[in-house]
Amino acid sequence: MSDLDDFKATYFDECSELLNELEEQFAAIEAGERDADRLNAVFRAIHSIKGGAGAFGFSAMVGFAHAYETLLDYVRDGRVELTDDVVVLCIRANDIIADHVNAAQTGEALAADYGMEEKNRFDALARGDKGEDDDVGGEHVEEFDIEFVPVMVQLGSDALDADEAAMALDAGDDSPVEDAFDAAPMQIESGHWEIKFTPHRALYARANDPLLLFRELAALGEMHVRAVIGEVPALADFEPFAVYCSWEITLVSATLNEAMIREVFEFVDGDCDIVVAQLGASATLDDGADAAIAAADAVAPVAANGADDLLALADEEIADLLDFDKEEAPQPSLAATAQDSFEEPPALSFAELAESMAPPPVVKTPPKPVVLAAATPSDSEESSGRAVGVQSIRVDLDKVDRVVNMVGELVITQSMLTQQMDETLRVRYTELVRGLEVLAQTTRGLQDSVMAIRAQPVKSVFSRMPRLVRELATKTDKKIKLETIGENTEIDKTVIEQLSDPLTHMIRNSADHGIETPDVRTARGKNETGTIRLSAEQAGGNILIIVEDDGGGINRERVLQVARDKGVVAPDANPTEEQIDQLIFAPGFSTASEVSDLSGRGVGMDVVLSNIKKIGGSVHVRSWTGKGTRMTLRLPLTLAVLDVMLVRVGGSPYVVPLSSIVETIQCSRASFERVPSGGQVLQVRGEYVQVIDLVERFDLVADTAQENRFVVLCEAEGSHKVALVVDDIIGQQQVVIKSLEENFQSVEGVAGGTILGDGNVALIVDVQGLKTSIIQKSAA
Amino acid sequence: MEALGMRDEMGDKSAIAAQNSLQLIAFSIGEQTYGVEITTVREIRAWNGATPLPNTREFVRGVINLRGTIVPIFDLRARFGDGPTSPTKNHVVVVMSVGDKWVGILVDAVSDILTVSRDDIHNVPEGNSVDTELLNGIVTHDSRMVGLIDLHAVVSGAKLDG
Repeated sequence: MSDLDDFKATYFDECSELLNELEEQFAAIEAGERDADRLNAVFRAIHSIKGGAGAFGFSAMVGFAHAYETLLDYVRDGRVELTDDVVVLCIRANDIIADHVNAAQTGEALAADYGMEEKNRFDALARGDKGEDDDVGGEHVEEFDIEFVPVMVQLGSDALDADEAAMALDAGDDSPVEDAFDAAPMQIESGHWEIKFTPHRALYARANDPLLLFRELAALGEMHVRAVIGEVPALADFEPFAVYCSWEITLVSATLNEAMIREVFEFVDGDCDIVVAQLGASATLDDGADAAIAAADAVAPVAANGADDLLALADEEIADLLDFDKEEAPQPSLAATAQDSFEEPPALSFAELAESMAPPPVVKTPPKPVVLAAATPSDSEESSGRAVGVQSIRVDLDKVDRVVNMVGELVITQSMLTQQMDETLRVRYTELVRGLEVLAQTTRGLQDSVMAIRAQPVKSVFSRMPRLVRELATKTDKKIKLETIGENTEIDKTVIEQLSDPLTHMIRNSADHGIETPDVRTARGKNETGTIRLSAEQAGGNILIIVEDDGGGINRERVLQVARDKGVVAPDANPTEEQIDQLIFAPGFSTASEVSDLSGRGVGMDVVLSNIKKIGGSVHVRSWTGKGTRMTLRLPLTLAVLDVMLVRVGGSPYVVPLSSIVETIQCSRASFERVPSGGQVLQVRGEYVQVIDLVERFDLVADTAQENRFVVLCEAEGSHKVALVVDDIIGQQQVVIKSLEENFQSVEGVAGGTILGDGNVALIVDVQGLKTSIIQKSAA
Repeated sequence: MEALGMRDEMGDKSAIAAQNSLQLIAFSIGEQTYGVEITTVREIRAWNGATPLPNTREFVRGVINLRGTIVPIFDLRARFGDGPTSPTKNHVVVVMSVGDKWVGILVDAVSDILTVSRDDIHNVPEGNSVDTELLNGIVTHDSRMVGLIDLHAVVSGAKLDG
C-alpha cells in the first residue's frame, strides 16, 4: 500500500501545482485575456485533477470536477459565454476544488452537499444551452461534442463485417490469448508480459484514449497490440456509446515489472479491467505476430467489404467520409480499435513479421488513419500528458536540504582554511595557496548551484493572494484589485514557505485598515476600486517584497494614542512619524476599533515581524496620509549561508550581515556629535546618522581605547543608516545561521547565532531590531 | 512535573529500584546538593566558556556550541540569587532536555547518582516563594538534603523584561 501512498503524495503535489496554475490562468482571464489557450490550460488542469481523484476514489471531488469540466468544455466551444459571472463562478469553483484536494489530503470529510450550489449552477449553465452534461448523454448525441452522426454507419458496417471476419478467422476473438498461454515455449525469456485491457464505457466518458495508454506502454518495451473485436455487433444492434472492443498486449522488455505496467493504467484504474500476467516461458514473438496479423487480416477485408456495403447504401455523405477515412471518431473505442489494429501491429511487429510471415501487403493496404480518436478533450490531454516527465525530477526536499547543509559546512571549512593561511605559509607553499583558491571558487560555485535548486519563484505564494483579496473584498464590502509584479523572482524555498503567513497578514491589514470603503474613496476623489500592489524584486543579497496600497495611510494619531494606552511607548516619548509607523509591528498592538473577522484578532502585525525575523529578514513600513501605505519585507536570498563581518564587542565575537554594511570607519577618523537626548550622531558625508555603541547597548565592557574602535555603518530598513560602534573588526567570512530559539528564545538585538571555525558561538547583530527597539527602550 | 510522574526506566536494573524509586543525578552548588532526574540528563561536560548573551538576566551565562546546535547555559547559583559563579575548568555543565529544548546548567560539581523512593519526597516548606518556585520537592539521602530542581522554572524568565 505504500506504493499507493507514494502515488497519492505525488498526486497531491501535482494538485497544488495545478491549483496554482488555475489561479494564474484565472488571474489573466479575469484581467481580460480570454483566449483559448488559457481556457485549454484550465481545462487540462481540472481534467488532471479529476483523473487522479478518480484513480484514488475521491468521488465527491470527481463529481464536482466533472460538472466544472463540463461547463468549461461548453465555454470552450462557445456554447456558454464566458461572462464575468461565469469567471467568478469558476474562480469560486477553483477554491472548492482546492478545498476538496485539501480534504482528501488530510482525510477530512467535507459536508456532503459541499459545493452543491456551484455544481447546480454549472449544470444549470450547461443545460441553459440545452447541452447534456455528462456521461449518460444518450439523447443528445448530435450535440455531444464533435459531429458524430454520419460516421456511425461507416463504422457500423465495419463492425458488421468485423464480426463476421472475426468469426471466420476465429483469431480476433480471445483464442489467441489462450493460444499464447498454451503455446509451447519457444523463447524462454523473462520480461514477457501479457496484458488484457478491457475498457469500460466510463473510461471513454472521462475522455481517456486507449491509444495514449498504448503509446506509453510502447515506451516501456517492445509491444504488440491485438484488438479483440469479436464482440462488435451487427450494424442494427450497434449502440454508439457502448464499448465493444478490448485489447491484448504483449510487452517484451528485460527491465519491466508489473508495477510499471500498472502505473500506465493508473489513471484509468476502475474504468477498465486489466489483467497483467508475466509469461515466464511463453508469449513468443511468433504468437504475438500471429495474433497481430490475424487482427490486421480481420480488419483489412473489413475495410474493403465495408466500402462495398457503403456503396450499396449509397449515401453520398457517408461515401465522402469514407474516402478520407479520417473523420471524427463516432465512438472513441471504435476509432481507437480501427487505428490500433491498423496502425500498431505494422508499426511494432512488422519488421519481425516480415521474415516469418507471408502476406505483408495485406497489412499495408489500409490507409493510415489520421489520429483523431476521441474528440477535443483528449487532444488537450495529449499535449499536456506528453510534456510531462523529461525536464524535471521530483526530489525529496530532505535530500536537497542535506546537500545544502553539507555545502554550507563545506563553505565554512573552506573559509576557515583560507583564514589559516598566513603570510609565511603563502610564501612557502604557493601550490597549496593556488589549490585553496581553486577550492574557494569551486565551493562558491557549488553553493550557488545548490541554492539554485532550492530557489523557487515567489509566484507560488503570490498566486494564493488573489483568492484572499477576493474574500477580503467580499467580507469588507470594498472594491479591491490586486496587482502582482515580479512574481518570477526566485527565493529560497524555506523563505517562501515562511512568507505565506506574513504576506497574508500584511494583505489583510491593507484590505482591512488601508483601503477605504467605495463611498469614502469616491469622496476623497480616488478611484472607487482600491489597489493593493504586491511586488518582489532582488536588491543585492536581499529580496524585497513590497505590499503597497492606495488607501488612507496609517492614522498616526490613533496609533500613537493606542500605543500610549497600551504602554508600548512612554507617555512622554515623542516618536517621529516613521517611528510611529513602525509601532504597528509592536507586540500586542492592534488599532482596529472593532475586532473584525479579518485582521485585528489581537495577533497583529507583530506576528509578521516575528515570522520575518525568524528567517533573517526585516520589515519596514512607510505611510503617506491619505495616499497609502507601503510595507517592505527585506529577506535574505538564502537561509543557509550568510556573508558576515566578524567583529569583537566587549571581548565577545559578534557578526554583522555583510549585506547591511555600507562602510566601516575608524573611530579616530569619525566625527561624532552630541544630541540633546545624550545620544550621539555621526556625520558621514553631510548626513547625520544615529550611533549605537554595541558595548553600551549590550551592557558589556569595552576593552579597547575609543580611538582604536571602529564604526560599522549599516543600512537598516528604508535606506536609513545606523552606525554601530564595535571594539574591533576581525574579518569577513561566511557563516551558517543557527537559531537561538531552538533551545532558548529570541533575544533583543540578536538575530541568531553562528558557530565559528574555532567552535565558539558568535551572535548575529540584528541591525534593524536595534534601531526599532530604541524608542521602546526610551519608553521603558 | 511530568518528569517525576514518568516511570524510571533506569531503575529496573537494580533490585531495590522498584517502580516507586527515582534515580537522580546529584550535583553541588557550594555546600548544598541538588538533583535532577537522570532521564532528563543528556550530557555532562566541563566548563569551557560560553558566548555571553546581551539583554538577558544575569543567570543566563550565554550560549555554547553543542555539536552544531546552540545551547543556552544557565548559572544555577545565580538563578538561586547567590550571585554569578566564577567558573573554572573544574566547573561542570549538565546538559538536559526540558520539553523539546536542550539547556545546560552550570554547577560546581556533579557528585553522585542517587536512587531514592518517591515516597521519600517531601514538599518544599511554604515560606519563601523562590524555594517553592524552583524546587519540586526535597528528598533525604544519607542524611543529606537534596533539592529536586524544577527545570522549567529554572529556565523561564530569562529575558530582561520578562
